[in-house]
Amino acid sequence: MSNRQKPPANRVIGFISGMGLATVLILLLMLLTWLATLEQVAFGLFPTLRKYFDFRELWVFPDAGAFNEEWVGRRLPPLPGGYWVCVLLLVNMTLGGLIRLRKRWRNIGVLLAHFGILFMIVAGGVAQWKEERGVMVLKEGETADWARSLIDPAIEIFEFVDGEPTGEVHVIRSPYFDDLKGERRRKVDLEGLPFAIELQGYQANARPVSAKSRAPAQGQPVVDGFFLLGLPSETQTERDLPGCYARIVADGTPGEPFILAVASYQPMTVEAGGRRFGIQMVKQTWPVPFEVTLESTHAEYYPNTRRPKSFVSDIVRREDDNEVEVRIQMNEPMRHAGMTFFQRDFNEGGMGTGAKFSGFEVVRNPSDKWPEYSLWIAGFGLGLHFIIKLAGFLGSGRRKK
Amino acid sequence: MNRFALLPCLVALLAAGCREPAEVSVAETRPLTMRERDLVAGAGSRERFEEPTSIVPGVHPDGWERLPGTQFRILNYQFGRDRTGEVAVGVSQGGLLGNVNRWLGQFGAAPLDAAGVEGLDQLVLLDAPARWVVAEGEFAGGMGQEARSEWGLAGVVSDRGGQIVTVKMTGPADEVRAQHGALREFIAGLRPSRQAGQGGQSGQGGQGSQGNQ
Repeated sequence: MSNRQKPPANRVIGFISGMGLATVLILLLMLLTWLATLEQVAFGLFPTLRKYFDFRELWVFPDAGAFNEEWVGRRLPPLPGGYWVCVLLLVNMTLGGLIRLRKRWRNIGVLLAHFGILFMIVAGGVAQWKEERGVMVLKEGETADWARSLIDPAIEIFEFVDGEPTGEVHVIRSPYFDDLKGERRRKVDLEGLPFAIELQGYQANARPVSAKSRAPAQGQPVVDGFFLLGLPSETQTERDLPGCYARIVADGTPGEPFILAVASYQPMTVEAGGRRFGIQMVKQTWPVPFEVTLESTHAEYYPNTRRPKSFVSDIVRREDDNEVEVRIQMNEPMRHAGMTFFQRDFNEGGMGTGAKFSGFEVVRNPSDKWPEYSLWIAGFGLGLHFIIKLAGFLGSGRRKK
Repeated sequence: MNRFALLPCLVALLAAGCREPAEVSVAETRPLTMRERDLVAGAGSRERFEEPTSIVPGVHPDGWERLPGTQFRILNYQFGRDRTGEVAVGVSQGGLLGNVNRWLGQFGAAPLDAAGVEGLDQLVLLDAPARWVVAEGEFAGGMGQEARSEWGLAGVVSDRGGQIVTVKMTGPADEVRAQHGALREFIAGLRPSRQAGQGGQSGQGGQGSQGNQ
């Protein structure tokens, strides 16, 4: 039966599962990756990844600034969003590479290779939805049991008892307030606390500024001598320090407004129900279920350059009275308790302290090792296919003789 | 009825459903971490938003309550039965000898000469030598403190190349005596802070920095 004689549904499935579509999608992925790699130099890694590979982006307009600084702002013809290209490729390979592929023992290697690639795409999807990335920066000799998000702010509330933070920390994640631009406001009720908090005027990058040193030029409210000065977003999104205005509502009565800003050093103290609470906006805290002490750190550079050859950190991991010495270096992360600590950066004698700092990127990703497994599966499948084909070729040669 | 007449209602309903709520309830909590260790209750806007002091505590002795810093007190604590005991970490002027003798003079004690100061116990404060000073008796007051009887003083004065750093405990004499060990431990634990602004604004500050980044 020719293609034209097939029912329309079969033709659609044939197209979706076809090798032609697979080839186009893989080429598109290569193109998107290449353009994103170029564009992130001008626009920063996080915004570029969001632009090219976020599920909310059906279409992407690459920026000509990727090729020439003078062309920044000029849009190139659109391409489909990377997330949806991957989804289509997943469907295509599932249909064409697994379901419709003839299940013969000779094809077992190809099936395995296709499964490996699908597994890798699924790993990417799981990472997209479940992965969290933070950072832990330690000075030599310093210990920490927490990391912080690079990007996402959070509002954290805890009780002071005898001047000390006590009990649990209540966390309001950014999706509850990062849309509150301008006059928009939202009341957040906090389970177990004798007050609610009303939030307003969120800015993605802002600094509290003394009204004595600078007048609020855009009519920003001045609270206790300070106002929130909005700034343009940084190219490196992790440098943005968000802020907003807030006030507590206790027994239905709103209190005085105050500023919450990541660029602050101490929490706002409020009283409600005869108790004292601290409220602060921070880059979201991740409790780490063990303590990390940076014993020593050093870096090696290629001769006469600042290009790193290696960053090495010797740490002690303390957990339930057990101490384990671990060396973390570039490409040799520490994996423990569902977290991966990558050597991220190093600072020697910085900040005028003469101290050495080591920065670890802390990643929580349930699919952390899946890409490696998928490569093993795909590699094994291709190897097996090669051996089967080779054996068939050698066998046919012998038969001809 | 034209079935398309329902379309605007449907669109309006969908739009209402998509609108962000004006009130939400949040129940997420997490345990306290070392990040909250140095947070202080009662900080005003200046202390919250302006670059903080350059010294942070490494230990927090039992029974001490940390208070917001002041112009002259980088770190500020109170302790004791009636909360009359005070511990202040500050930066001063006037040299090692002048500061030791100013403290002794507040208790009517005879001033020391340079050799006498050299003879005082030596501790380490922020990686520099510091002299341990103790006095008891009638406290003449000064620097905003009232005159008191049966009062005690313990602390250190350190000359860091012309900059004088002091850690001074005052309070009822018996309570100050009881706190000598804790004070020595506190002094040994003090460390220079990374400037808080470095924490997030450069993205490279250490975990212990006071900033929220």
